[in-house]
Amino acid sequence: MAEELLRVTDLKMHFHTRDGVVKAVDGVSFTLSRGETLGVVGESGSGKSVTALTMMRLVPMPPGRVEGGEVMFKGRSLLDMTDAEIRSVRGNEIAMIFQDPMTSLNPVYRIGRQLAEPLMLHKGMNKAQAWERAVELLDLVGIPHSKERVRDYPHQFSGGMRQRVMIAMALACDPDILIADEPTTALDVTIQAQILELMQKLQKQMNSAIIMITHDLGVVADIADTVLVMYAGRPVEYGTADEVFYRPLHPYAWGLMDSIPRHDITSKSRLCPIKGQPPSLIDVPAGCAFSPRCPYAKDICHAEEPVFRRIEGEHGAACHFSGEPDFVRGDMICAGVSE
Amino acid sequence: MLQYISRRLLQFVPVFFGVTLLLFFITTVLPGDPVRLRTGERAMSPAVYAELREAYGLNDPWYIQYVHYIGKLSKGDLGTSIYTGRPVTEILNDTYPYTMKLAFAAIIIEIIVGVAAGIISALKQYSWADMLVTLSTSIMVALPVFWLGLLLQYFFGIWLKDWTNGAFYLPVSGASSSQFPEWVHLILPAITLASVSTAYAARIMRSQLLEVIGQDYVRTAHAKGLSARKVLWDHSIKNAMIPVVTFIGLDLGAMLSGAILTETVFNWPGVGFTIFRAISGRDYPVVFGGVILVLIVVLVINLLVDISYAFLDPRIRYGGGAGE
Repeated sequence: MAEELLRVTDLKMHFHTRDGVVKAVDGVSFTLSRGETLGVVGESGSGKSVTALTMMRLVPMPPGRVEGGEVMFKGRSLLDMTDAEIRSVRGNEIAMIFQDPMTSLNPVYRIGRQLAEPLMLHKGMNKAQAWERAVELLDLVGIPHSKERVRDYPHQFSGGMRQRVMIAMALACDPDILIADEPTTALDVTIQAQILELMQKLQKQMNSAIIMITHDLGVVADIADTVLVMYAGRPVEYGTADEVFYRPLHPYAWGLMDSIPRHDITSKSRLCPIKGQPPSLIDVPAGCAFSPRCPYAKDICHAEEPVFRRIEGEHGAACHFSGEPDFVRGDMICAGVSE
Repeated sequence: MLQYISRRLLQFVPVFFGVTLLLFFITTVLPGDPVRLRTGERAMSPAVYAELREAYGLNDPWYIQYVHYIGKLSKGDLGTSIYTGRPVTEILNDTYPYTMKLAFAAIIIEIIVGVAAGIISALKQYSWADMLVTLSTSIMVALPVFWLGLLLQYFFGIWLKDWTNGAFYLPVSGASSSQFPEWVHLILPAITLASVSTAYAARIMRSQLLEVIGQDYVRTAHAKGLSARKVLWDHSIKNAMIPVVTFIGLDLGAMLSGAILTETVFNWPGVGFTIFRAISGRDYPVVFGGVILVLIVVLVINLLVDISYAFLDPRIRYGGGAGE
């Protein structure tokens, strides 16, 4: 068993707004070991990004407030650190890359300066050393003519190249954990594949762990070892990628699987989207948050919030019926949709 | 870049001729005779009158006058004032330094007070300091400059003098006196001239900084582990300053072209006040000389602002070629 790097327990991040309390993250737990990749999936607004930002203490507070939970990184509590301590973790031991490479780099500074910044800050390098290392980092992420490109500005790079720069910047200090928040969403498909391949290659080289936040199940299937499925700020299923993909427990996960386009479906059948919309995080439905959209919902689902239960090993779900022998994935979600 | 600058300089030519032609044309439709105004109420003998008109070339059609004027201008001769008989270059030499002093004093106020107020206001959004800045800038923008000038004159020149029994007050007129050095004379006109621009600078700074603070690259800077102060100075304020610098640069151009209202209210002997008096006296050579000077200053400053833009914001590259 590899060294455990991160243990998140029952993390809650609520936003206190004029319209009410937004429970953006409501009781998320997971662990992450060295060399492992965790995929966090869910629809927009399900709390994936806020979970990551909360761990890094990058959520503006107020309006945000940590309502409970614990984030232990190598035995240290990230939530209890002083500002100076958490800053020495950010960009150094835990680094992040973001969704939109077009806006995540500062347009008025050269790439080299932005790459050099964390090196000078965390590794105590002087400017010349840091710029030299910046060139190596550009080589590492496969940017040609790195010696010249390091003096370019972000607008002189394409989207895919900028995301490579972001990855180079995140990996500058050899972090233990790389949090990638939808790193491929803004890129076109061929570039997506290149970026994912690059991340996996570098992960092997550096033996770091990755938290891959995405709504793209294809990406998760490609690279994740474990998967956390989130819905309305709550974890609904957690397990290894094989378990979640081949033996999903939660009806929401079933719905997600059914909405993946597949090549083996005949041309007559349609994709089966999950009907309805994710709930407002201010007025989360009583009981199970997914119950209004769940074709299997019974009375208890509308009344009582299901607790997250482990069914087999670490694999578990937050559904009243998960694990019951006659509660199996059927064609019901698609019923009425097929022609 | 050189290509861009030379192209911009070429554009000066039609602008220059356009403005000067317009000026000469306007003199034909403006009522009033500069020669008659020279002697005021007193009568002038017809012979002297005719001689003076001939001497200043006022009997020629305006376009002939224009050609003559441009011919002399090309030799650096701006003519002489009809009113005082002094060469116009000499008058401008005497008055322009005062306009420059006033403009730079005002721009310094604008930079320090405007930018600082904007930054504080953005960082403490919705605090009482922010409310104060928002309210006072609204008032500043709405107050006519001459009215603010008169208020300041009344408060610091008269009310304060009475209240302190003459112990403390500020001069309200002119650029020199036996009691005060020149820089004290500069205080009230500079504040007056700076008021509206300072308010705008503060508002632009505030909104720009608020926008930049929400940008993804600021989040990236935080995620790198930079301290809040470094994120603010290195990754926020520089970006937010770009439009502010442009505004202040253009404003400097406007101020250097003579603040007619402020200079008039405070009898400040700058080029604005001079042009104002020359217009009232139909002293056309002085008006032309003053306007041409101001025109060149504005054109040059605008060009400098556009060039500085390229240095501040690497995304902007003039003249095509390099870049995207």
